[in-house]
Amino acid sequence: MNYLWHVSFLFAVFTILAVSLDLLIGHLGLLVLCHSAFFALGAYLSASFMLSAHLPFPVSCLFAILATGVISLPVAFAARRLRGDAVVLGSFALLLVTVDLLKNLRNLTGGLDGLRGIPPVHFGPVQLVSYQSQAVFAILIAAISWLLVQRLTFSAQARFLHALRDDPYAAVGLRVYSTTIYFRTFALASGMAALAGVLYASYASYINPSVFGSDQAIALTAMVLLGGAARPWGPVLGALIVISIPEIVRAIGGGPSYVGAVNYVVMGLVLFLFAIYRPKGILGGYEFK
Amino acid sequence: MSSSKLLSPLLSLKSVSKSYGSVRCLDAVSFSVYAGERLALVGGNGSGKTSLVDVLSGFTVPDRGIVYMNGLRANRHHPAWFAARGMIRTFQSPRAFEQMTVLDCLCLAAWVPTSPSTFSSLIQPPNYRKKEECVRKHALAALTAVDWGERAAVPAGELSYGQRRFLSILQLSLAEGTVALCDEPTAGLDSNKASEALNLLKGWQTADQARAIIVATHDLEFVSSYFDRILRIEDGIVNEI
Amino acid sequence: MHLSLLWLETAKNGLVNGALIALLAVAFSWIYRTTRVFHITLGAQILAGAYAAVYFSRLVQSFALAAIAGVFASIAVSMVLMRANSSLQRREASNALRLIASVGLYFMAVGICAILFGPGIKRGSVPLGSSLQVGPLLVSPTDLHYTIALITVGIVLMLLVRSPVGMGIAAVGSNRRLYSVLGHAEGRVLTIVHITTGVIAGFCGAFEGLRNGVEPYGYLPITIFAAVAALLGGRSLFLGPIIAGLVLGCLKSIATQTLSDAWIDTAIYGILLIAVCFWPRLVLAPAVDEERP
Repeated sequence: MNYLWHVSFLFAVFTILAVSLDLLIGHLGLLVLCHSAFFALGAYLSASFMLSAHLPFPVSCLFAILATGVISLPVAFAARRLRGDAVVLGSFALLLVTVDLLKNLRNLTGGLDGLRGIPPVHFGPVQLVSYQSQAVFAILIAAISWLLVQRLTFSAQARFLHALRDDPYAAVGLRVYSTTIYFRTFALASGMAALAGVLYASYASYINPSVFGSDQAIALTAMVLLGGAARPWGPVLGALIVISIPEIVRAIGGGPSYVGAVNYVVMGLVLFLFAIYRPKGILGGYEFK
Repeated sequence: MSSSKLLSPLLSLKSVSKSYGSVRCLDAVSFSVYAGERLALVGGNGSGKTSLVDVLSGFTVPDRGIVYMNGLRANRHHPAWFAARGMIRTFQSPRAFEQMTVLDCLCLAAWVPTSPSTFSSLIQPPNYRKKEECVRKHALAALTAVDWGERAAVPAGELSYGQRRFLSILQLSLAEGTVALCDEPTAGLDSNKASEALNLLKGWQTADQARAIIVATHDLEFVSSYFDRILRIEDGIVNEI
Repeated sequence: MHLSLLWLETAKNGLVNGALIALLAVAFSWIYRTTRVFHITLGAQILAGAYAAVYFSRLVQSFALAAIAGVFASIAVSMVLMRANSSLQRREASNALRLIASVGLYFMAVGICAILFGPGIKRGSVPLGSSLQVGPLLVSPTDLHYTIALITVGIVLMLLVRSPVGMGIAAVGSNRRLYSVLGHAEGRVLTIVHITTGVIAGFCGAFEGLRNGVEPYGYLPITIFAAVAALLGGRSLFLGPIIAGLVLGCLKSIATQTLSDAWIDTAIYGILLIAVCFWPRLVLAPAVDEERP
C-alpha cells in the first residue's frame, strides 16, 4: 500500500511540473529544457532555509517559490529575445550549468553528496510523515495547481498570451504588446516548479544533483509533448504515462540501472517520434511551427 | 479647411526618406492625417506603399525626416509605442494567430486588457465574466453579420489566403484605436468580399469621428467611393490627388 | 626543472586532447552547415565508436583493427541519423522540433548503450607496449598511435575541404534549395558529410574508449566541447574549428592543473549559454524561412 502512495506522490509532483511546464511550452510557445533547474532551485532553497536558517516549512516554501520566480525573470527576458531553437539550446545549456553548479558548490549544496535530513512537510506541530499523508497533500496541491492554470488559460489573458505566442507582429497590430503578462506567467510557471521541488525535498528528506539532471528535463518535456501542449488534460496524461514506464519496467523485473536506461530510451523515443509524427501530442494540442 | 484640420494631426510625416541599399523607397515624403479622415495611399508594385506604412507604424525607422504621432516625435520608437497611442494595423501578407480559433481572434481584438490582471483571470469576478460574455456575443454577432458563423471554431491557420485577409479586417473592425493602417486590405478578395471589407473599415472609422483610417492599395476600383482623400505614391514620392 | 617538465606534460596532453576536440569540431561544423541542426547526436556516434572499439579489442587484441571497427559502427549510426534527419526535413519540421528530436535521439542512444553494455566503465584489452622517451617527455604508445592517426585524418580532411566535396558542403550550407534546383546531387553531399563525420567520430570514440574506457553517460561534455570549438571556429570548414579545438584542448589541460575537472565542464557550458544568448546567429544557422513582417 505504501508503494501505491509513493507512486501517487510522484504522479502528483510530476503533474505540477508538467502543468507548469505546459504554461511555458503550450501557452508561451517556449520549448524550454531548463524546467528541472527551477525544480532543483525550489528543492535546494527550501532545504537550505529549513536546515541552515531553521525556518518553518511554510516560510521556507514561500521564500523558495518567490526566489525561484525572481531568478527566472532573466531567463524569461532571454527567452523572449531568442528564436525557437535558440531557446531550446540556451535552456539546455542553462540546465547543464545549473546542475554542474549544484555539484561543484559543495559548501552550499553538499556537492555530489547532496543535502540530508530535510524536514518533512509541517505546519506548526502537525507533521506529514506517513506516505499517505504526504501523497494526499501533494495530490491536493497538484489539483489546485491544475485548477489555477485552467482558470488562467481559459480567459482574456490567455488569448493575450496566445496572440503573443502565435504572431507577435500581428499581436502588436491589434495593440497586444504588454510584456508584463509574459513575465508574470513565466514567473508563475517557475514558481510552481519550485513548489514541486519543495514537496519533493521534504518527502525524500535527501536531494542530490543527479535527481535534477538532463534526463529529468527530457522526461518533463516528453510529458508535455506526449499528452498535448495547451490542452487541459494533456500534461496530466503525459505525466501518468511517463510515471508508469519505470514502474512497469520494475514490475517485469528490471533492476535500478536498467530502469534508468529504459527511461532514457523511452523518453528519447517519445521526443523523436512526436517531433516527427505527432507534434500536437495524443490529445492534439499546440503544434510548434 | 474642414473642422478636423483645425486640430493637431494624429499622424504626420516631415520630409521622410528611406532607402534600402541603392533603392530609394521614400523620397522626402510629407503629409498629415487628421481625425475623421479616410485616406487612401495609391500606387503600383514597388512604389513604396508598404515602406510608408511600416514607417508610419514604427516597423521601419526612416533614414531622414521626422515622424509624429499625436504631436510626439516618433522616429526611434518601436511598434509597441505606436500601439500604446492607439495605432492598429494589418499587413501586406495577411497574418493570423494560427492556433487560435476565429472566434478567439475576434474576442482578442474586441477586448485587449491594457494591463491583464492575473488575479482577475484566476478569480474571475462577476464583472469580468460579464465582460467576457459581452465580448463573445459581440464577436459572434460580427461573424454572423458576414456569414462566417460556421467558422467560429475553425483555427485561423486553416483559413485560405483570402479568408485570412478578411479575418484581419474583421479583427480590425472590432478593435479599439484611433488610427488604423491597412496594407492592401482587398488583395486576394473577390469583389463582394472586397466591398464588404471596405464597408467594415468605413464602419470602424465612422463609429468614432476621432478616428482616422489609412489604406495602402493598388486597387483603384473602390478608392473614390470609400475614401475622401487620396495620395498617389510613385517611386517614393507622394502627391495629393 | 620539475615545473617546466610539468608544463611540457600539460602542453602534450593539451595538444592530444585538443586534436581530439578539433577533429570532432570539424565533424560538428560539417553536419551543422549542411543540415542546420545543432548536432548533439555527435555524442551517439562517438559512443558507438567507443563501444565497438572496446569490445572488438577484446577479440582481436589489435589497436588498429579495434579502431576500424569503431569507425564502421559510427558510420552505421551516422546513416541512421541521416535518415532520421531527412524524415524531419520532408515534414518541414521547425528548427526547434528538429533540435528536440536530435536531443531525443542522443538520449535513446545513451539508453540503448546502457541496456546493452551496462552503466559501468568498460575497458578494452589492447597491449599498451612500452613508452617512448621523446626529449624530456614520456610518450605512451597510445598517445603516439593517437597522434599519428589524428594527423592522418586531419590531412585527409584538409584535402577533402579543398576538393569539390568541400565546395559542395559550402554550397549546400549556403543555399540548399538553389544547389538542388541547379541540378546538383544534394543527397550525395549529405551522404559524404555523414560518412566523414562517422569516420571522425568513430576514430575519436575508438581512441577515447581504448585509452580511458567507455561508459554510456559520459560523452555529453565532449560533444558540447566540440560544438563550442565549432562555433568559435566561425564559418570555416576546417582551419577555424581545428585551431579553436586545439586552443580549447590546451586551455582544458592548463585548467586541469589549476582547477578541478568539474569546473571546466561548467565553464564550457557557460560559454555555450552566453554565446546562445548574446550571439545566437553565431551558434545557430538562420532558419530558411526567416522573414520580416
